Amino acid sequence: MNEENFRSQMKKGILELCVLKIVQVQECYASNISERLKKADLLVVEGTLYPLLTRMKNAGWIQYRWEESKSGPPRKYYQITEEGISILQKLEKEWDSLTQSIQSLNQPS
Amino acid sequence: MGFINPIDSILKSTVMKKTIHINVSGQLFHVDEDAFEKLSGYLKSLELSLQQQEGGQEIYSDLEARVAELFQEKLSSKSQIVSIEMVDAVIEQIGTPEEMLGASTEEAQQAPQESTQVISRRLFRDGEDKMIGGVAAGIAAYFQIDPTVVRVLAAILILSGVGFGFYLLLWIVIPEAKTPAERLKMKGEPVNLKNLQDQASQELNEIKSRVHGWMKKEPQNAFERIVAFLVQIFQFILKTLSKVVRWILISFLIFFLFTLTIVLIGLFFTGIQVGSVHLIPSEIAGILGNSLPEGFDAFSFWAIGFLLVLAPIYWVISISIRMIFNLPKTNPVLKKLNTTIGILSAIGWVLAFVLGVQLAMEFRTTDTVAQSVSLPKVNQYTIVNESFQSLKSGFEIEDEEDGIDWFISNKRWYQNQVEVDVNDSPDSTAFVKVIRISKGKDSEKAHELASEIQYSIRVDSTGKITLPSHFSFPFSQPFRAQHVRIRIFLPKSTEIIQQIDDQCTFPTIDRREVANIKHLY
Repeated sequence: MNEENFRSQMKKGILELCVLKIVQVQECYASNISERLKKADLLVVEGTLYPLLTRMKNAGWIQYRWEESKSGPPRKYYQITEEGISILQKLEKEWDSLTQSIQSLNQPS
Repeated sequence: MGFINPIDSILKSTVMKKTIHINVSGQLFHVDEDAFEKLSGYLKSLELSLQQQEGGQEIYSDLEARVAELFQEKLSSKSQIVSIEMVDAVIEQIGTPEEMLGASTEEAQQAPQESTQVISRRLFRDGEDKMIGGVAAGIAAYFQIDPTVVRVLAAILILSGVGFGFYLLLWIVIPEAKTPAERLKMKGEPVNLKNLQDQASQELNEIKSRVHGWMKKEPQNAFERIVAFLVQIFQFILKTLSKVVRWILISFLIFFLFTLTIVLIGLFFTGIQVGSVHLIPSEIAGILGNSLPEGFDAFSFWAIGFLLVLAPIYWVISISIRMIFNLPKTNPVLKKLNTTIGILSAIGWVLAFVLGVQLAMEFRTTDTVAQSVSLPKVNQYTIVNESFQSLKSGFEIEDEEDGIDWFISNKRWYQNQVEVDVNDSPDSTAFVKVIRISKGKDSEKAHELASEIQYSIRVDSTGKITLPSHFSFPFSQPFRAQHVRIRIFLPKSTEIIQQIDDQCTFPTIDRREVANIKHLY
């Protein structure tokens, strides 16, 4: 049990929520998403994101379309689905209640 | 063969002054040699670790595309050659498989120790170290012994003829270790990231040496080119042949199973033997054929029987082989075989059901043919059994406990289902009623079969009634539960004696009916 590992586990746990939030605002391609996550210090290596995106796509939370790129191979642009929106709402609610729960622990019982 | 080599499929390389052309996600790059090694190792390790995951192939191509994209970004301004620094930077940005997937490092550290204790060694064919089918090498890996030992043993067994069919069976049943994970299981090593990567780098070295070797041997002149071409043709022919041979062997095996089953069924019936008397298969087949409902013949009966026993026999064999060697259930050849046998046995069940229903219909109605024989007026009557012992030769079924005694003689079927009872006569006359009974699909047919039953009693003037122990009917006729009932009607105050000889205890008399019966021994 080390602190570094624990922190990365916590971040990993909310990664789906974060990705949903990003693609809800606007359609993005994978490296857009990873850039934003990195900026927010939520992601260490890009590679973590790709299995996640495929899983979420297979679960029907997000979908993608291909777009040609001037430099390099065609890109997958991801957008949120109806199902993804409802999942996101549930996850956000869960997040809020989690922070509240943790806050509540500050007070003596 | 079969093993997915990203190096083979995406990196077709040729040397150009220490830089190599490689194709990443459809894009062509010039790469330094050291960078090439690092990059191909990285891509390989990515692919191997993703192979385990659902949708791994898709994730891998996304990652590969990202690698290509990052190279494109880095190249556009500076030089056109991918350097090892660039590769390092890309790996740092995207992350190693451990960083990507094994983010829970704690788990990853603990897992290997745990998993070493529960390694399940599995039997696979070793496609990379094979002489024929890789069976011997696979068995050697399974038992951790030198493949040569297994090969020598196998050669002896195969040459002596014993092991030939067995080898074929194993070849078909045991799957080839295709993925690195399967190869690790074959060797009994724990399947974890580190081992997978070791396996990958080992394979990478093999591939590299293959690539280098190939490049060195690049045909220089026309003659060498022709030789290379011929070698290719020869290899192609060999490959095709081995496929053809394999399928021939599979069909041979199926045929073998088929024959074996037929023989087993045959043995089951021909094996019935009483004393020195054997069953005659052609006769029993004829009788069976005659007894079947219309539209079925003896062959269809055997065919249905075969279809019914096929699945259980196949099931027992395959389960036992699988259990002995801890084989996985999935094997494309086995799947096809499973489906085929499943369909065949389903057909068997349907036909058996139809046959059963049809057969039941054949027993729907009963009809009798009765005949009266008058007896002389005496005070004492005697029943004497007439034995058919002398007629017996050939096929016979005998069951002492149930008192069943059936046999065939002179193309007639003899059966001892003769019931005898004694009753009070309604008037002062004494007579015997011979009732011949049969079942049939309609009363007409039942009547016809009943009248074909032969059973002749003899009566003499002293009151001796001779009752044959068996009735008979031509064996060209079907079994329809034929039997005979003898009803003896005697006036009151007469006596009846049954003489029982030790050869034949039939027919017996229902003693409930009359009190005045005596036995004479």
